[in-house]
Amino acid sequence: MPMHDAKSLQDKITHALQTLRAAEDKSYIRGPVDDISVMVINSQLGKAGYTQLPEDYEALLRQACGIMSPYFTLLSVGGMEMAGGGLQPGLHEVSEAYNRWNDDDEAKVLIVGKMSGGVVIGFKDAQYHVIDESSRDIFRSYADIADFMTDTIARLDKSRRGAAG
Amino acid sequence: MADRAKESFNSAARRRGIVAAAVLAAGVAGVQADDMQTQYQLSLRHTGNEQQIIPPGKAEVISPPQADRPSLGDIWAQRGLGSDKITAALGELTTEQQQNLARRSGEMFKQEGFAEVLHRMEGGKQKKLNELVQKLADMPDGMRIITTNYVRIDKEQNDKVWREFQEKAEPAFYRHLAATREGELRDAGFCDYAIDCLRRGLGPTNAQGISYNVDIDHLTERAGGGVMCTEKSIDPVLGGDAMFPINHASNLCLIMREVHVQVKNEINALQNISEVPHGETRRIIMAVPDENKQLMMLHAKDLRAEMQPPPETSYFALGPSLLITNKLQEMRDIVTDSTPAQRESFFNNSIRADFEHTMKLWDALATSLESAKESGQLRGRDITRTMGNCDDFLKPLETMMTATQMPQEALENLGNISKRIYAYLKPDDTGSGPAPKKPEGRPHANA
Repeated sequence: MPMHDAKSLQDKITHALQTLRAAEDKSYIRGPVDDISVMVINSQLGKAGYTQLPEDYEALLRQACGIMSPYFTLLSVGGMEMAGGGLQPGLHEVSEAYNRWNDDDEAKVLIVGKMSGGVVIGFKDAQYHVIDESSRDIFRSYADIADFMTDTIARLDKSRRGAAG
Repeated sequence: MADRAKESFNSAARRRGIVAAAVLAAGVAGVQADDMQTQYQLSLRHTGNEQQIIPPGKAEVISPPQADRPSLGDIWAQRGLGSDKITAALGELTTEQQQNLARRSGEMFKQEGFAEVLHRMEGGKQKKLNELVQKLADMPDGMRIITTNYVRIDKEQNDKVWREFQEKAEPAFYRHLAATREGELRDAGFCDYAIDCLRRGLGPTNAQGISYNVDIDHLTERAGGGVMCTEKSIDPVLGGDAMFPINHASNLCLIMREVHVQVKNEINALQNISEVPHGETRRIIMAVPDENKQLMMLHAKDLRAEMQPPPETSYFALGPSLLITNKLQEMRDIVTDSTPAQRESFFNNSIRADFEHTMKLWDALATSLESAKESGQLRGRDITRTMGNCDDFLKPLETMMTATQMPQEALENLGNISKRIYAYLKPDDTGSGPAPKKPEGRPHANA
């Protein structure tokens, strides 16, 4: 992930969230996370053998702690209640499920989000990867979460406009 | 405490099984149709308007093991699956799971290559084999096991297929469901807004934009569909431009996310399908919906706690309770050293959704106990089992929530639910005596 100063990181995340809010289809964007929740999730991740929250994902959580949208779901530090009574588990639980059958020496991938069609967003080697959950094929990678968000919104809005037209 | 609780959860879950199990319906012929595709895969290419595509299996009926009948281990050994590893895996099952698996074994062994897959699993970790066997025994109502060829396509093609799914097939499939299955969707609990989302080709959400707990599943795996992923044709159901048949409506199913993740994907993961080299073929076991549920499998009733009698109801609450208890226990120092405002903020961000979900599940247990008591069906042994689950999971949750000074309102709600449940679980109470009253205005009554 390229180095950002805190201000430009926040600005980039803010812009990505504005893009999401202005997108054609409605999203559910939760409120910001606080220091103690960040501390707790980092402690949990560390104990379970994960990297700490990437700087830019933490910046996202500090503006929006969990997103459900027609483009992607970005996970929260805890569960998110779903319509109809289900619960979307948080990023620690989802990551643990993804890495459950890893070989002992295999580095764990931090799962931060998911997309329709059985695809997850994983953070590994300082990049965000769009990964097919069953085959583990990596479809594409992004330097930061804001780039992933804006690129995905643009792609799907364009295809949906095309389908509607 | 947490370890003891976890152990207790695992054994309890094994003992009785969380997911409702049922005898599966018709068997399926497992004859391989050509060199790349199984009959199942070919069947998905039909429109669904024809008569029964998959001929009903003439499954050999294998009765559940009883004292004077061969055990499940004997049944499997007769089919060449009698190794120490298989025996150990079967030995991990509860009596009920063994009975379930025995009932299904005839259909499973009719699937070409079923034993071959198990043999391959014998070469791997025992834990994985145990887990797979357990998944087979716990197959939820409405699903069945088949075998099929997983023909791994290359990464670039897989990406193309996925993008086509997201950009064309998924919206068309949602619109198709809204146009043809609106009544069933409403019966399953989708609101007006969700139906409108589907009409517009979007995943179902409520008016706030919160997603429903469903996924679209590719029945034949997207990355393993072979020619279904390479040669486009017009979908006889959805029409429009030619698409890869793997993305045709006949290969898609709107499915409860729990079933998708915990059953279907887990069975795939246990077989290491990600390790199949690109371009190669491997026979795999796959969980698929019954024929009459191929477009939608939304039998939410089987997944909702309130539909189960006690003590089964309590099992739904164990995992979520343990999750919260563990999280609080691990973070106790950080949390208790913080200010009340920080703790409240932490609770709202990190705990509240899990907690409220868990409260609904415990509330469902209270409702279930109430109902069983009113109908005179609350048995002594159910009380004992339910009490065990509550002692191991509900009480530790209360203790840890109190120790970490979580918000008063949450503690009171939890305390009230706990009192309500324990009121039904007095050791000398086997169904007689007055039922405790539901407190009015409880915030978590609508499980």
